[in-house]
Amino acid sequence: MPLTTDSRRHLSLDALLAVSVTVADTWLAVRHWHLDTVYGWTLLVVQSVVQLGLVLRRRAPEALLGALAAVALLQLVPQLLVPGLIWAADVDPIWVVAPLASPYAIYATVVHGRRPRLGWALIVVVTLLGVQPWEPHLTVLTLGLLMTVVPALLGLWAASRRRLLLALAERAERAERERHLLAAQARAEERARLAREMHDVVTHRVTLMVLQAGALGVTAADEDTRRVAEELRTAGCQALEELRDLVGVLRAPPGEQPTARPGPAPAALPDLSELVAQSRSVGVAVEVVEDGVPVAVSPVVGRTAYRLVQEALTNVRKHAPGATALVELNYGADRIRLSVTDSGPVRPSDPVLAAAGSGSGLIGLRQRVELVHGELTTGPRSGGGFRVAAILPVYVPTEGAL
Amino acid sequence: MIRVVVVDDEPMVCAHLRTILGATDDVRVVDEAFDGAAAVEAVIRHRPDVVLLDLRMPGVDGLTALGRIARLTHRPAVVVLTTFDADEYVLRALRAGAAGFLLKSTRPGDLIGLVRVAADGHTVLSPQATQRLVSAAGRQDAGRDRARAACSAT
Repeated sequence: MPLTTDSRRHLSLDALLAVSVTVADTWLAVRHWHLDTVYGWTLLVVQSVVQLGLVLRRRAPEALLGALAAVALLQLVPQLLVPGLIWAADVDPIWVVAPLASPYAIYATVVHGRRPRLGWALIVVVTLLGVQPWEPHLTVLTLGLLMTVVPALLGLWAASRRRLLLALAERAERAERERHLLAAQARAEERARLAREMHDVVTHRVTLMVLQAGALGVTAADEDTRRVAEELRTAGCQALEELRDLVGVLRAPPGEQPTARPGPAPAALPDLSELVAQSRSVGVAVEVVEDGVPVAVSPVVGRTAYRLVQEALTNVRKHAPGATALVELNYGADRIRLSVTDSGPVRPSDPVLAAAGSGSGLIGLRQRVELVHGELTTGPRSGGGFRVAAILPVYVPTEGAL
Repeated sequence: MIRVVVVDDEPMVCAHLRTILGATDDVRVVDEAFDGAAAVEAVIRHRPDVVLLDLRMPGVDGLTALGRIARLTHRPAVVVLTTFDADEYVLRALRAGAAGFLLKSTRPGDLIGLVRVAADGHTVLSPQATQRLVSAAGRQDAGRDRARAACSAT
């Protein structure tokens, strides 16, 4: 298990605690127990080693407490049977209540323990050994309870407080998350509303143009005018198709796939070579790498991909003069990955050129990509240069309802 | 001679339709109306064979006008005109008595032909509207099947 900063801090505190408790307890024992048997000395060494185990009180509290109980048993039972075996018979009982590590181990068992039944059984054993009910003695009783029951109660309080804090933190986090979601939803709705309004106005106008071109086509005297009018009409009809395609996407709630309906027929991605040629003609070295089997995509996806490449190449020209750009296109079964990376500027960018434009290019691009339920990532690359990448679904069904 | 009334809140639409339909000898636009109320009046006054009716209009809208026209003794064939296949309207308009559904962007030649078909008492639907209708019928069948399955299960 890798150590976090927090657990490393805990570990060093526990080590400090373990060493101080062990040193103090061993010193008290040496001073007051008047040890004069090998068994007594051996058990003191064992007890000291066990108390050093406090360093693990958060990781294995039950094991620590069990070992402490075992040491106490190994001391008390022989001492009861053969008085003077470990500590002198006339030692004041307050010096033999319980190992000094006990309260810390009990507290840790209550707070950090993972096996509550075993933990409580051990706590009862240590408590009994501490208060020594077979030799009632007010000071020992008080001291025993102080070293066992009080830390257990403190532990209970701390544990419940910790749970409460965790619950509160979780609730706060959830509220925060919900707030974010609501805000995002409101933004998406507002955007969709504006887009719908624009859509309605534009549709109305284009319909008028189509009708007028149709009227011109039937009234024109000469063949040329009729042909041009029909071309105008066809272009207008295509625009209407695309608008319809777009409004289906807009009406779908954010994050939800619009219901399938026979939308405009999927087509190959728009040809990027013209964009690439344009970039090359203004001095940006562009490489295109395609991977996978080209698939047909919804027209709106095709246009989004085209816009991404266009925007990214424009940015390379503006902000990274002298850089080479790489357009990568990867076709999957149901999505395409598209990225434009550049190698970073080799000379400072022309301030006039860099300042041109609204600065909303990437934001607009993100909105476009999200509208077709794609993902856009943009940012500087670690080795210098900038990367614009998107994952786009191949097919975006437009909305259908009756 | 097929007599037609064109109804649309946008006068330019009416004017262009008049031009397109005027290109043939057997169709004549006898009146234009810019809202639903005027459309009903025009139908009563001119007793046309075909009404080309926009649904979205301020005031008395197309669906309301359609209902009123359907209750007249002289019932022209009312073909609903739409910007594009305004999905939710197809079924409602057909239930209200529309004789068909046409996109405003229909090719002029087709438009004239479809007006003749409507005048003969047939239903006309733009391909997109037909598609919508078929899929709606499919959904209704599926709904009925589910209901039947639920009934037989209990």
